Amino acid sequence: MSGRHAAPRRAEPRRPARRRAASRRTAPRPTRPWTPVVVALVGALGLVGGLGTQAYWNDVETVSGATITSGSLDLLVEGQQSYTWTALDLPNIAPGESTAKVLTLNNAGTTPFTVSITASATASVVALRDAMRVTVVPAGTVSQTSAVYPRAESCTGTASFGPAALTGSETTVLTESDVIDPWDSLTICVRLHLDLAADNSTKSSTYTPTFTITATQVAP
Amino acid sequence: MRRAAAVGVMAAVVLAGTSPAAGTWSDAAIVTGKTLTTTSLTTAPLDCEEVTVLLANSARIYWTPSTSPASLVYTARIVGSGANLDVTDNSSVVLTPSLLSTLFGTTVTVRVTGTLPGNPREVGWITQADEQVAVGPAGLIVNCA
Repeated sequence: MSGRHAAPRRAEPRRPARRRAASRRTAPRPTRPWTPVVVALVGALGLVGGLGTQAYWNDVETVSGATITSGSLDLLVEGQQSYTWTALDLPNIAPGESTAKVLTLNNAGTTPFTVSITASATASVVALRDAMRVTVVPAGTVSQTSAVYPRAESCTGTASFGPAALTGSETTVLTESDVIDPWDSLTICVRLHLDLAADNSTKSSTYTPTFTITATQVAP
Repeated sequence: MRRAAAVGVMAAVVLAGTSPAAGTWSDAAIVTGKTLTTTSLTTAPLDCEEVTVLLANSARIYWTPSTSPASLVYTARIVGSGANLDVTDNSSVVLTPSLLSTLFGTTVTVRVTGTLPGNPREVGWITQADEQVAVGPAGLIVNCA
C-alpha cells in the first residue's frame, strides 16, 4: 500500500430525465461534428474502390531496337592518314628536268565523297620556288620520256592545275574531283619541272611541296 | 492562331532543309612531298700555256669540259672589253697578239663560262672561271700571267 488515498469523487447531481428530453427537443441539432465522419467514410470508400482498380492485372514488355551504327567517311592516302611522298623526287635535279609520280587516294569509309586539293611549297631560296613548275592531273598516269639529262617524266591527262609555281600559301590545285565511292580510289598525278631558265641562285637548293587533300561527303 | 501555326511550320521546313548541308562530313589528309635538292655545276679549272702561232707568241687557255649533270657548253670572253673569243672543241681558246693589239702592255682577264645545253645564258645556271694573260710591249707577245 502506498499510503496514498484517492480523493473521493464528487457525485454530480443527476439531472431529471424529463429535463434531458425537453432540452433535446428544443436545442439546435448538432450537424457539424458529423461532417468529418462523413468525409472520412467517403474517402475510405474511395480508397477501397481505388484498391480494386490497382488490382487489375497488367503487363509491360520492353522492345529493344536494333543498334544503329552511323557510317563513316575516311580518306586514306596510299593507305595512310598522312603521307610523306618520298617517291616524288629526282635526285640532284637540274634546270630543264622533271619528275612525275602518281598518288593514290582511297575511300576507306562507307560514304561517297569528292576531294579537293590545295598545295603550297617551301624552298631554301624563293627563286627556286618560283622556278619549279607544278602540274596536277587527276586520274593521270606517268610517262617517262628521258632517263638522261634532261631527265623528263610527265603526266598524261587533263591538268587541273599548272604548269605553274606554288607559293608559300595554300593554292587550290584541284577544285573538286569525280565522286569516289566506298572502297574505290582515285589517282592523282603530280609533275614537278624545274624551269630551264631557273636563276643561278637556285643551285644546291631545296624545295618541298605540301598537299592538303580534303574529302567532302557527297550529298545523298 | 492559324497564321502563327503556318509560320511555325514554314520555319521548321526551312530548318529541316538546311540541316543536311551543315552536317556534311569531311576528312583531310596531309601529303608532304620529299625535299628535292637541286644540283650544281662543276667549275672546270683553267690552265694556260704559251704557244707560238705564226712566229708570234700566243697564250692558250684550256680546260676539261664538265659532264655533270650534262656536257656543259662553254663560251669565253675578255672581261672589260666584252670581246668574245672563239672556243675550240669546247675546251680551249687561243689569244693571239693581233687579237690583243689594242691591249698591249697590260694584263687582261679571260672569263670562261659553262652553261647547261639549251640554257639561256643570261638567266640560267652558269659556272665561271677566270684566267689572266699578259700582253707584251706593242702587243707582240702574249704570256700566261
